[in-house]
Amino acid sequence: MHMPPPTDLTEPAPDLRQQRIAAVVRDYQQPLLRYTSRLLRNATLAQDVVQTVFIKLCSNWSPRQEAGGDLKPWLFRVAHNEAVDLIRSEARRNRLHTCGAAEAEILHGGIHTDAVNDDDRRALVLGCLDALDPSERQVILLRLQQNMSYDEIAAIVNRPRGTVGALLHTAVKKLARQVRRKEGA
Amino acid sequence: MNTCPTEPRLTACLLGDLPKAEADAVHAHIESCPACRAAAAELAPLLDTLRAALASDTAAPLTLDPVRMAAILATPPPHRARRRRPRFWLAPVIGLAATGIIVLSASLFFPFFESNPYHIRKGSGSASVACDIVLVPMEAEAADGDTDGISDGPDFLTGTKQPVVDRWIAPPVITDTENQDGWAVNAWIKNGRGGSDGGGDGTYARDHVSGPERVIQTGRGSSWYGDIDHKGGQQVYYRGDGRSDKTDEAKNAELGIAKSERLTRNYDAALERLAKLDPNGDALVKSEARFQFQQAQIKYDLEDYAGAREELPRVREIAPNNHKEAALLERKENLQTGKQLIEATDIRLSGSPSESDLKTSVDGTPVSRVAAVEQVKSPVLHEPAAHRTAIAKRPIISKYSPVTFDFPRLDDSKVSEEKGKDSRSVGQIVQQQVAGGVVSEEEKKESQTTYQANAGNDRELTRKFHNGEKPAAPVIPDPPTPVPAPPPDMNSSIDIFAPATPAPADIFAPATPAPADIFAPAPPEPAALTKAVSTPVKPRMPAVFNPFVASAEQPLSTFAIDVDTASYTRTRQAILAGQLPEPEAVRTEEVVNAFDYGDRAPDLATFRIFVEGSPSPFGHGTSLIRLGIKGRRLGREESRPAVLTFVVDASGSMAQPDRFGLARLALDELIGRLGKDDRIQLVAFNDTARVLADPVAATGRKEILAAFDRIQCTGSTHLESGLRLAYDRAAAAFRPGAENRVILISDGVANLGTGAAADILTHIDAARRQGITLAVFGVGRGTYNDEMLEQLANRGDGTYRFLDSADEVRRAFVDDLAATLYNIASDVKIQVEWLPAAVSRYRQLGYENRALTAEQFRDDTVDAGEVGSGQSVTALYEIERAALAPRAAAEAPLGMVRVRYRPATGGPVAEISRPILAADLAAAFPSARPQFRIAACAAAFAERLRGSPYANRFSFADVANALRPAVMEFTLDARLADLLRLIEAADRLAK
Repeated sequence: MHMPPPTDLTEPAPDLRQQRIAAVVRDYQQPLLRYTSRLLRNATLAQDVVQTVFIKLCSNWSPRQEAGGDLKPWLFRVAHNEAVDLIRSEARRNRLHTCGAAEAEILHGGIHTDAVNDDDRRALVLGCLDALDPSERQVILLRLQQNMSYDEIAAIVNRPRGTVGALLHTAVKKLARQVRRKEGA
Repeated sequence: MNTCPTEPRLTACLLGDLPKAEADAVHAHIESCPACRAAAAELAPLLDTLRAALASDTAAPLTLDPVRMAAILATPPPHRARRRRPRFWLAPVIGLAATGIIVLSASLFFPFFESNPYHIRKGSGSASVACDIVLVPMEAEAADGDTDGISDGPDFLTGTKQPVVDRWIAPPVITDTENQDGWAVNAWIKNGRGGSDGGGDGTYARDHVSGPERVIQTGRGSSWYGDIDHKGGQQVYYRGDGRSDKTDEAKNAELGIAKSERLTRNYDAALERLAKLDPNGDALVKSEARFQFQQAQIKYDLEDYAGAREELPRVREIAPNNHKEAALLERKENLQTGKQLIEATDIRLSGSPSESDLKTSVDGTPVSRVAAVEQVKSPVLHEPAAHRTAIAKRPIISKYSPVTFDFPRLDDSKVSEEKGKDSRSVGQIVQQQVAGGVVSEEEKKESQTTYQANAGNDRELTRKFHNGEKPAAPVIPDPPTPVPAPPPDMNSSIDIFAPATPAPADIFAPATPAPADIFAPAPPEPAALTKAVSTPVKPRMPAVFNPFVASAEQPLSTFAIDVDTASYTRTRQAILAGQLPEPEAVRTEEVVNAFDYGDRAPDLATFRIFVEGSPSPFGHGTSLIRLGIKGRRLGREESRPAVLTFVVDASGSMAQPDRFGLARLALDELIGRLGKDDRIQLVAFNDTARVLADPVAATGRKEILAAFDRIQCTGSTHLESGLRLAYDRAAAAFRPGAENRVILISDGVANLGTGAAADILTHIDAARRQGITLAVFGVGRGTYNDEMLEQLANRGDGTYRFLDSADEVRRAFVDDLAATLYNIASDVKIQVEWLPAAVSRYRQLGYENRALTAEQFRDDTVDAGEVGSGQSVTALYEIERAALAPRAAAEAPLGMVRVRYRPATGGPVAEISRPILAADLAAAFPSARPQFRIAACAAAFAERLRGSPYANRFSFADVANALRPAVMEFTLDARLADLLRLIEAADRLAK
């Protein structure tokens, strides 16, 4: 049966709205946190970003948005933009305070190098991944961390579907170069 | 530089994202083009590593912290224009909507969605499933049962969690999937390979765990459904209809649909569907005997037990080799019949179910229940048609419109890895059958019987024990002998691996929720949701409860000891802060163990066993039994020197007086109590770990505290590095014969994910074997990772306590220091055997995550709990005494408690036992010892907080009323007054 499209009539009551928002938060907080944590290399900043995303969601909330399938791309798009903004401002501040080394130490806190071989290699690859541009990391993370389809990625990065594969390949190739250089060093 | 036009498609091809034709073309190209071949050879391992690295990257928090969550939910809605009054032209729209609602509600009773197919699209990288969600009450699960007893393995799901799963339940680490059948199904959904019938019951769920390859290879899409959630006494089933081209699979799908129809009480439809199926000539259907089984199961559901029994031989005929379902069903059917017999007798004899009335019939001559029931036919069986209608009409189902889930395809390496893990877990179980009896000196100590852990001797004792009661009593299985080939009798053959706790079909399960509840409209109940929002949202496993177990089927209840009390402290903290604790965070055994029950410590023996009981004030015609295991107090000269490694969490989140302040106090108290031979060293960690003080004697108190005061709390919590360093230091300072112990104080907000957690647990485990144990102290509230700290302590053979106040610190480090520091025994396991002749069924309160299988009791390689000097452990059982016990039952034994442990002083594994006698039980609850009453109330309080289905009959106020007189007798014990206050506060909060 085809239900009529949501109109003002179906505007949920405040508590129902809250429930729906809470449900969205529940569903998406972890993927978003994983995504932004990897992007920012800092769990606290990731929480900040995800919080901002959800607050933006709240202030733009409409039943239509929930009903339409574009909620997920929207969330990831906003999260990415917020994270990139933060990276830029962090970078500025780092230069200002010239404590890049200490900062990098904190940022890389999640990576420990005293692990066994397998972990070593993983840490190395993650380290190289962190050195890529945010837009390159974006496609890699969306595909390999979030396991999204090319259609979804296309909706998030705002590019045609056909180019997603090429973008991904470029990013992976660059990553491979970095890894090669690091391993050679 | 590779300028090949195919090159940009390499990554997509390696990831398997290309359509098949295109992928083939790229593969062909790679073969011919050296540049692309080289690139592919480099990229393929890199992509694998990257995928693995991202999957094991656990630095990300799982949830937003509560403050942020609150801020999000407090965001005001966007400003919108006031909506206008509905206009006339809206009337048809409203009419349509109303019609829709009526049709939807009508579909509650009609198989409206029957033709609503789910479809599995196999796309390039994902598949999607559309299905409707059906809520089925717990009863359906009870009817399915789960007796396979094989733990489905904790590792299967970790690391592969997907948002789809989060939607329903999202524990980050699963420690026990045995009672959480939905998991396997979820996992399997995640495989994204289409479906077979899913795990409505444990057996089916396990099929997917152990044999996903079957599903994957055939790739068939048949009907599937699986319970996902246990919330509110209901389970969420997904169901849908199958589509398949092949005949076999279509039949299989039809069978699956029939099962799903049965579960949704569409019996007529199910029978009709089955009637259309031709059971003959179809290998798949026939070999699994599923067709007959469905018919039998339907009859069983319709309470036509005689009919079900008729079907069963045919099932067995087709599948003679241990057809699990058939055996299970037969058992359930027998039980159910037995229950009817009893009920009938009760009605026949006196109209009351009390024990004394059952011994004679109305005319004064003794009569058996079976004889009695032949005279009284169940009304149920008289009018099958009416009865069937009544059953089919029982309100059970809420339907929701179809939902679609997208899930990624799992690569095959992952699948095979998971298969490997599963087979390992089965292997362990098989390994555990190997007998492990260590012979120890037989000795008598006080009133207890300590005897060799020798099978023959034990059998002898058991036999005497049984003979004293009843010659016909079944002889217990002999655990230490290797299990031979399964005997022909099915009932016992499926029981071999059964652990003590997960009951087979619990027919006596508490009543299903009232119809009003079942019709509640939305899956997230408003109240539950508000709670989830107001408290830290932390994904956890749903609570599990030990069910009632018929002692005739499972006379042995085996568990590892647990002396932790953290759960009580956390409960207290939550209630004092004005909210009820999360049900999953309450562990009954830890609440009960938080109090002293006045058991006198033995002078010479390591343990003494205490048994007491009375009719249960909270149960229904049941008795409550308390088993107290009290450890010896080490004398002064016996206490060994201690080498302590104090590890403190110095992350930013610790910088609060109730965290770091308490840690300092603990250290201070600890040093103050150390002897001259004791050594202590100090390690702190945040992002990195560092040694603050090398091992010094207690005389170095000033230096250590000064070093401690230099700590600044910043950064994140890299628990793994802290523990690693601490264990390295502890190993360096290791002194044989001393008490080598790592003491961890943390608020538990660690970036320790599943991968690293597994690593560190292995590390802790290895250290434990060499004699370094771990004591864990939790501090702080809020984003506190309780489960992880408990797991650490369990693995390290240590205690786990929660420190919420200076008082609690003093209690742990001053009053109970000996218990904190010195162990008297490790791997302490308890096995209780209930005599079916005297106890018809029993239920253990708590210890859900400590259950062992009967075989593991005498398997000394199985790790279990450890007990410190002078510590006592309390276990509670609710039992139903057999109604047919002879009149002179007052002296008869009800069962036997056995305690098996490895003494800390070295020496062989010892085992002691004590019978549970009817004389141990008080005649009435108020006349029982006050300490017993306190234990009963503490347990009832915990059960109620956990939302146990067995705790529905009483309120917090009832518990408080039962407790009050007992507390009056111990006015000096502030903790008891505290407990009473907590229960009263919980009563107010619950209202």
